[in-house]
Amino acid sequence: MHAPKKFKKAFMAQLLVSLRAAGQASKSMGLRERRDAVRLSSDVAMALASARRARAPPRSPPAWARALVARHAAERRNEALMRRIMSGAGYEMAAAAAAAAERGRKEARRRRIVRRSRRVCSGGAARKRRGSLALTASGGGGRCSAMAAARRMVKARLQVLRSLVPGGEALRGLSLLSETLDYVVCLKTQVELLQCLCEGSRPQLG
Amino acid sequence: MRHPSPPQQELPTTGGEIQAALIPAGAAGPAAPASSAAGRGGGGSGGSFTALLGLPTSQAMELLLPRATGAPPPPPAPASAPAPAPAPTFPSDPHLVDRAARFSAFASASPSPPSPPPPPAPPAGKRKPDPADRASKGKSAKKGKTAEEKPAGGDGEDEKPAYVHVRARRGQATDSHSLAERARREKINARMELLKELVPGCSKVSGTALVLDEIINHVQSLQRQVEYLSMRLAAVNPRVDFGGLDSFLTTECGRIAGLNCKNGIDLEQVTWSEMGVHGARHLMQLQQQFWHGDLAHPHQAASQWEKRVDGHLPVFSSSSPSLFGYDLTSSGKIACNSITPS
Repeated sequence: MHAPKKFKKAFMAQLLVSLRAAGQASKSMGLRERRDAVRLSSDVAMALASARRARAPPRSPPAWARALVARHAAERRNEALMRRIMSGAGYEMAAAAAAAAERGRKEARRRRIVRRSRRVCSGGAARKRRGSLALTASGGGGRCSAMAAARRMVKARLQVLRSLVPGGEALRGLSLLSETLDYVVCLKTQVELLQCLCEGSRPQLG
Repeated sequence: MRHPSPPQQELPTTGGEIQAALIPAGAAGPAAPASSAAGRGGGGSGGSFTALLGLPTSQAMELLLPRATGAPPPPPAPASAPAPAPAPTFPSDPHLVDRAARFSAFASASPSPPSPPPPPAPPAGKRKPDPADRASKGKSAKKGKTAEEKPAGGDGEDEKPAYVHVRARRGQATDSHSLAERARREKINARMELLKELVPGCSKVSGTALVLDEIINHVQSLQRQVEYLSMRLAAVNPRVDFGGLDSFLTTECGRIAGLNCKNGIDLEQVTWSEMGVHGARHLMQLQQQFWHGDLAHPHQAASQWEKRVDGHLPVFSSSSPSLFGYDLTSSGKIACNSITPS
């Protein structure tokens, strides 16, 4: 409902292309493999469609798209399929993005460690200061701890969100929310289109 | 979600809520640069307090009108000059379509007066907190794109865009850090409101953590749905080939996805052009496989078809009804009709 029609159409077109390519590529009969092929193709389609849409009003393609494709590209067995779906050049970009994502993750980990150590060092001094301030404020003790608890909750949930959204590890704060927004919209369209496909292929059984 | 209050409320809350409404403000079209209420502060040296009081309400009235035209109303005559900020679009509007416009509008927002110690900011696309001196008038809280029609203060220069002014709220700190923080916080709140609209059932919940909870649940359920649907698709089709797409195009879901017959042509053209000859070859292989159930010799089949099909897309399309066999009668013909004009 939020997604504009053009996006849906582009997505669907890309989805069909990739599904065809997937069907041609994999002779596998296993249900799981087929499902993975379907999921892979739909994910790639989603990423490509959203990248194309981001090209029109010129803004950078969303970070989750790259990360999603990179995640799929990282698995070796998907390589042939992905090469077919995207052109060869596209696949190279995806592989490069995968390497970059890996590096980015390492950077994020390093940064987190540094930050944690810094916090520990300065935490003692700051806490003393803050604690005294809080106590002196009227009833401030309870309030501050409530706020701190709320902040901790928010932080925990942001962490969960980062793990959910592809490529969210490297994002912080504002960009995380925007990526989540984009991702949710695209997920919704993906679900709708897959449902359409399901219903469309159902009469065959009858 | 905070909705803009009726303008008869007192000043700070009005300003605060208008601020909240202003943030999702996609300026309709490029920022028809409206002078901010900030000018009032600059001219506030002469302006009376009652004038200041009177002003926000009228501006609030303007702002409350949804989808007021981008052209700002003429600034009220008296000493406090400036016109209100462009009308906000309410969060119910399709943000995601307008988001690009909004951001580009922000980017092209009319400039800030480069008053003395503004924290240095890269020009394009960044919001800039109001310089401390003007905000220190501190009368009300309006945030808007500014085009300078301020009479006083020596800051009436219309320069490079991409500055958004933030008025200091009443009784709050006015140094640049807190202003920047507040701008950031407003951005975050704007995104949170968008997300709240997107995720069903979030409007009742208040508080960031719970909303985030809902969002996480929603994302997880969507992902699970995708998995389930893909499993179902894989189960429905004997193998992952989708030769029956023509029938799909004409069925309901084709309509749902916005692909009616007319657009179906586009879709087909798009797909054919994307896939190119090689794609067509693959499709032929698919058809071949489906028809003969022959998985063992795809290569031979490919070579056969290849000779016939190379560069003969129209031929292929016209012969499609015979290939898409399992739904010959109606959909095949319809598909043929939809494809042949290509």
